[in-house]
Amino acid sequence: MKRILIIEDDDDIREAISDLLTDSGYQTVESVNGHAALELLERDRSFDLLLLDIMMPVVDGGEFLRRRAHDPALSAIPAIVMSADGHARRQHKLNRIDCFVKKPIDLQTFLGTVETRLMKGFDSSTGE
Amino acid sequence: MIGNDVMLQHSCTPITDNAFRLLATAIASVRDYAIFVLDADGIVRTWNAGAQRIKGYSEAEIVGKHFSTFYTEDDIKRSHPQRELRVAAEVGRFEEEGWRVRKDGTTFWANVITTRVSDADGKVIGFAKVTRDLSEKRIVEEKLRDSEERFRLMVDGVRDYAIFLIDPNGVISTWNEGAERLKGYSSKQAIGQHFSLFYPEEDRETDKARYELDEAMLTGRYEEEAWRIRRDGTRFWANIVITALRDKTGEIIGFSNVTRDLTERRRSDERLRRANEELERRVERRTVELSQAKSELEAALQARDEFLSIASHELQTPLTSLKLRVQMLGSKLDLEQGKYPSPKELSKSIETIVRQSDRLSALIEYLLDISRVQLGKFTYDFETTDLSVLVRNAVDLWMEPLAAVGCPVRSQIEPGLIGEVDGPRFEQVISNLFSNAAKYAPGHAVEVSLGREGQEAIFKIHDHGPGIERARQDRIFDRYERIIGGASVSGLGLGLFIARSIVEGHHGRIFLESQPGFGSTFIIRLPLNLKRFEAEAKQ
Repeated sequence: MKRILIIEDDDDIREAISDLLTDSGYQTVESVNGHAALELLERDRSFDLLLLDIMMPVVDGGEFLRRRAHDPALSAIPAIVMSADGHARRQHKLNRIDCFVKKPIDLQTFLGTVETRLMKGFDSSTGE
Repeated sequence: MIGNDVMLQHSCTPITDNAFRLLATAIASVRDYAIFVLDADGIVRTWNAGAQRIKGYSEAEIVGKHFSTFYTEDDIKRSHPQRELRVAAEVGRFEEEGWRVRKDGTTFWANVITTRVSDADGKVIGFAKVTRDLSEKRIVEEKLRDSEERFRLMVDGVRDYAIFLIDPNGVISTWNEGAERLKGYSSKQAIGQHFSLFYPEEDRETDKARYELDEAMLTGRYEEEAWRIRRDGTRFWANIVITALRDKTGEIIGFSNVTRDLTERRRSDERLRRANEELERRVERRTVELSQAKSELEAALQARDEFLSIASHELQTPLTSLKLRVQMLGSKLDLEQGKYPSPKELSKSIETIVRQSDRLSALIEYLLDISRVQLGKFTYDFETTDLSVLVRNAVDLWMEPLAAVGCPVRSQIEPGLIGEVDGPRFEQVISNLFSNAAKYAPGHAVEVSLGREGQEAIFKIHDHGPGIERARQDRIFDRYERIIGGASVSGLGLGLFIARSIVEGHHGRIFLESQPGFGSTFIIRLPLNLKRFEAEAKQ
């Protein structure tokens, strides 16, 4: 079973995504911000995908991505960035994160993206 | 007529008859001089063409008459004709210039020479008279003298220009009042001096005066604007024109020098220049102000754009879970196949949907508040309220959420503080301050106090967060200003802006005391008796 780490500060969104992915047959783990996620990833890196919110307290999505880029093992885990801000898509495209989901999330698009990302592995994002 | 024994005075040789006849003929034809002879008594004995022309009498009319006929009444009264003959008889010759009278009664200015004629024994036998009409010459001379005098007086009297003559070597020969006034030298002090006296030291060293005279000699005229020195050593800015003066043969006989003081003009030029500079400075200052205003406006626009970006993010967040939950329910609903979401799923979804709807509605209400504040349509319902109870309730309400982010709340509330407030609005203020503490100082204790100082209630909320640097303290109550920049802290950046608007709406004050590293204290001072406050404010 594929393991997905959800990094999102909004409880209801995180829970809804978790419920959705669980229903779709994935195993999920939740983190409330970038800092908590990095701490968790120190202990456990057995994830197939990271779902990352951008606007978060303590360590935000952007900062998380920068730190991840300096860690090859962490960079090996593919990521999908979720943001309400369309501008963030361009911003993180520049950082060669090609998977972006705009909030509010559309269920079918979201599941499709997750599936594709998992199939492709990290081959399209190894340029980090 | 006159016998051949007669000798003219001064002639040493006796005149022969023949020669005498020739002389007499010559004299008779002279036209420019009246030449005639008087006998010893002053009776006219001969007449010539010149005499007839100048005096108007024919020979027949005048011969045999006394010569005093030619004199003015005044001269006759003072026996001037007799005196004339007496002098001539005594010294041999009398010459004068004086008025004489023509036959028609008009007078003319005459040069008259009367010469004694004696016989061989030295006895006076008569007088030879030569009279010249000087009227025309005299008028011309007088006119010339008058005009020269007038010109000299005019030049002398000119006060605004120094006008003086210098000889070919540069030595001053005349001096006028303007020169005295301008240069401070009297004519006595100036005349005889070299005109380089008025030149600054540096010009004297290079013999500029000589160069200027050479230029004037070559081209007729030299003009310049330059510094000149007064007698007291002060400088003045002058316009100087030196003109070469030549005689009829073209020889240089000197130079005229006309000097004008331009100091005043230079001063007004200077004033104009200064005014221009001032204007330029003002334009520059205004430009700076405008560019500041522009960058302030740009900053305000950027803040507004950031606000809109954050606001849309804030609105999208509840929508995200709302939409996900609804779509998840939808995906589990298949009427044809009789598939429905489980009651547990339904209940959880409804709970989320209601909560997120409330959140959306609160956000929208919040945005509306901002718009009301901006439009000045924020209204208050003041009621007599127990502030102590109001603050206590707020603390109770926030106790749990603050504890969740590691902020234990300690409170010290003086009971029974009654004030005139809009309860819900004031709760909003306290809520915003608690929310800030939760956002910016998680993991640290929060201390709340309510007390009284005179007619004011003092509310304080102190956190032990990072604190706020001095430079930002004044701005944090501004619209869209968030304490920590960037995206790490969500929020619209309007909590403190609204808090201040509400506190000021209660005629109170809200301010911040903070030091980086030592946390922040927000303090509200609120007049308790609003009616009395308003009455006092009106006085």
